[in-house]
Amino acid sequence: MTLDIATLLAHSKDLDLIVRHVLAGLGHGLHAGRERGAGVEFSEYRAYAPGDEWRRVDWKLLARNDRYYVREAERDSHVAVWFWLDASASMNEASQRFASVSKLAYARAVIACLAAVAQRQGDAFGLLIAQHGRIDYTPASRGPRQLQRVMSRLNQTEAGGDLPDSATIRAHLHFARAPSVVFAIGDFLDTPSATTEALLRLRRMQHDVRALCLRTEAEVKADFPENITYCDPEAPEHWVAFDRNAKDVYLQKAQAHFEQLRANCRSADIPFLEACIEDDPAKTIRAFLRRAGRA
Amino acid sequence: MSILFSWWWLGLPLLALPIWWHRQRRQQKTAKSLATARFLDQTDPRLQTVWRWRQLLLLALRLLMLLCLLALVAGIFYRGRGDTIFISQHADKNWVQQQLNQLKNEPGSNWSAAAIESVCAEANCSIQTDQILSWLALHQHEWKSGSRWLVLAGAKDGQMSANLPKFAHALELRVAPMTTPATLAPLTISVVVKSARFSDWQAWFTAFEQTLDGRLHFDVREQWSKNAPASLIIWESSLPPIMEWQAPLWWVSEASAFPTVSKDAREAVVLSELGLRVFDSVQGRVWLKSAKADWPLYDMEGAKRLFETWRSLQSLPQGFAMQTISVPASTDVISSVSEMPLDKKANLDSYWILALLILFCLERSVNHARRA
Repeated sequence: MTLDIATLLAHSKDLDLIVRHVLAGLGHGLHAGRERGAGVEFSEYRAYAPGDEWRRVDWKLLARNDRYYVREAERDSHVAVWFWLDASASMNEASQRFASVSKLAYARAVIACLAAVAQRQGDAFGLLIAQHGRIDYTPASRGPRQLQRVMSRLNQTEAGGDLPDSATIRAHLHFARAPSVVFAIGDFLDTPSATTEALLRLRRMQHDVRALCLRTEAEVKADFPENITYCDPEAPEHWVAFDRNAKDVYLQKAQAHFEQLRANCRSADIPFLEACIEDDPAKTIRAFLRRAGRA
Repeated sequence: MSILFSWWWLGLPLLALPIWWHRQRRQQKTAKSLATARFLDQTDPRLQTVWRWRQLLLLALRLLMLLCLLALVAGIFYRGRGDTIFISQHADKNWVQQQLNQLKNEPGSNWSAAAIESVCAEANCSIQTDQILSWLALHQHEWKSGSRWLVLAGAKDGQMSANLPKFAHALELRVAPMTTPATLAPLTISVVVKSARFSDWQAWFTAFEQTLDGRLHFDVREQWSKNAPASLIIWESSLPPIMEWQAPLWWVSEASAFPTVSKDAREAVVLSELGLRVFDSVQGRVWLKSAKADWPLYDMEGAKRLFETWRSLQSLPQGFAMQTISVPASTDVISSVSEMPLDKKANLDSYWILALLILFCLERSVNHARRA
């Protein structure tokens, strides 16, 4: 029986479980295989922690000591993967179909899956969470512990506040010295902004930048309940009323905004994918990676 | 009587106002968060009326204030006093004791259960006034219907109005007899006479002194002195008087004595019958005799009329001394505080005004604290 991942996402906050399901569906032919042999060197043993793969347990050591030890391998890689998560207040927008699935929850699952892929491939990966006008920085590293660390950070993240300004972002772009792949995931509603400028700047510095824009079905179709007062979560004084007349204006403005965003990404050669949070995360990740692969 | 006050209580529905104000609040409708709200035009926040109890302390203070105000104007809160005996501190103690003993022995009077209040103008008395009848008129609404008052006053305790007082309660006023005969010191009036007939004028005043049984004493002199200011100067000379001489009243024979201001001399109602005209100078008011007539020095009737006119215009009106009276409860009484004169109303119910003031201060403080 196949479990619908969107349903799983709606009912579980266990990123590890979600990652296992998503990656199980992804198969193995999609990505470059994990490098083995010369590049992989034994580094150290460490105690087994829940979540570690059983195949990495050293069974001989278990037979000798009656304890589980995991072999830590180190691989020199010249490419690091960075995940940029927009966790501003607008990312709290929830799906109308799955009330417990927000843009942030969806982005969290996508990043967890991508991080798991990076970890399997032996790449170093780090996390940048933009919220409350600042950046929460998790340095890049490799291995399952890093994956756990990143998942833990993702689980702790609550959406709120505004995106950071350009000065704050610039202070955290020191990773840009080494070649890297940047996965930026957000709603990209406040573009042009310091975030998009930073992404364009990274792209100009020959980094591999990929953007995933998350929306809800209601946002795409302008299918909001009428006669309710709404407010912008990042500008609470901005009160709006949605009715039949406002729908056309809304669709026009939204279309123009995302058209502009797509054009900007195209001109900067940034793969840009739009996805609804009601979609299957596995399909979204597959499409995202496929687009990224074409880039 | 008390029922007449009750119409003020029709204001009780006013209490609903603070309750209404406190319960009704307009507040913004809660807005649902929408990330893409930026694609919609901004509108005004929608308001809705919310009914909720809030600021209960402030509400209670405001209700109390209103109640106090109503109680103040309705004036029924003090309506609890019964029979009362008012004893003036000026009354003779022995006489008061004698009256109290007498009251105890009177069959059926029931004064023994009456409350006793001391009356004087000083702070040590329970009722601080020197006009007990006026005070009773103001505070009569504090007594229960059918209460009786007994006032034991001294002879010097204030004065009475010419009209018989009307109270809502039966009043008996007993005045202590004078312990010593009245020995009024004669009132000395200084008169300066500048006349060739000085001795005649002196005799004229002496005659009135004797007629009035020594109640007035006239100090008739020929020279004006700053130390003993004259009440009257009689000037029978055509020469102008010395500028230093000052008196409230001058009797002048020759208009030439005041050549400048005598032209303004006018007839006055009472004085014209005496053949006198009046004008004002810097040295005092002048009664000017007509050139044809003389001062009634030797005319008894004329002298009496002149003297009485002078004294009546000089004296202040005197009230009636306290007399023993017994006034039954009147049905035609001041039945409402609102019917009292405005200046007296302000003195009423000072306790309630004080309570109102305290409540007002508290209300302002709580309101300020709430805003802060």
